[in-house]
Amino acid sequence: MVAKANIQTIFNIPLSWDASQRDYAAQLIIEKIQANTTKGLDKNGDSFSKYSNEYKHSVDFHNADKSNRVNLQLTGDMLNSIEVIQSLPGKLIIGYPTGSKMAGQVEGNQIGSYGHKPNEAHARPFLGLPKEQLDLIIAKVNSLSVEQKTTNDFMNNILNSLLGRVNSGN
Amino acid sequence: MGIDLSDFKKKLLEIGNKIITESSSNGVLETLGEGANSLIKKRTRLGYGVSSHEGDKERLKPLSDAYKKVRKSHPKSSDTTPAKSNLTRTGEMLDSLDYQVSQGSVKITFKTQNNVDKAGYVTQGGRPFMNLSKPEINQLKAKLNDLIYERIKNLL
Repeated sequence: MVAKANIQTIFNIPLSWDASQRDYAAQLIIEKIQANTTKGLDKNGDSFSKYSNEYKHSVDFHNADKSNRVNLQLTGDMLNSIEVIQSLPGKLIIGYPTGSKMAGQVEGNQIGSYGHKPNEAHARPFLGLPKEQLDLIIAKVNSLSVEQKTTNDFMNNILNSLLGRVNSGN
Repeated sequence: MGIDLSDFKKKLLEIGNKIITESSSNGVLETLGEGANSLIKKRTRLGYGVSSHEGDKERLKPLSDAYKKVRKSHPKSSDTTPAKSNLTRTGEMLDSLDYQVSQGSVKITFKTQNNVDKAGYVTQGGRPFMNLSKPEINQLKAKLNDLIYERIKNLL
């Protein structure tokens, strides 16, 4: 059974923010977690523990075009499935729903269990941000103008419109 | 001095429509097609399929023991192993993934009819792989985001 605390993180934000400010902050937090992880950095800004030699010589490692940089991306699905679980005054909960198919994989990375007992030495906790990065995001959202808010909403509409033009499937 | 938000929204709407129209004919759909192909190829080679649009990725159905034996005695590609179910024997089908841009949309397909038929056959056989999962669509969205912001900057 996956523990919620291992797959969801609470971010404290200003109590005065409205829903739109919280949405924008959540988007920035998720993007920053993805960027840090892609660079091989965990939630504290430290480097992830290295890949095992066995994994580095696997067909999957070769097929995913991976390098020695640990970025927790095989298909990329785990990082691209991070979502806002709850947006409340003063608080954002970001991560994965407990019923998510990713939950086991996420917990494995977060606590180093990978189907076994938790092992801190093998853990790659990625779901969080160093305090100074969260402070920068809070400052950015505080300084957001009405025009910028409208532009953000509009950008999302444009992206969704273009993505609707891809036809895949058999 | 106050801000006239209705004028601002109107201007954004004009810019947005212009971007959507221009993007259909100047490389954005090609970028989407290449991105979708690359995601499908990589995920399938890793042994996962997706059975519906925005569905979850799932392990591809395992190979039969008889077929594993055939693959063991006739190895063909370094992108697989005899026991790995990843729609790869020679690698030709996935390498043939392609896209076609036409009338403002992009269609994910194959370079040859033989591979279109092969993809249909493996899908019917219980290994659907040509759909995009929600996280894959999110990846395409992130790629597009950067492209479109560049274009907006040029238009403003």
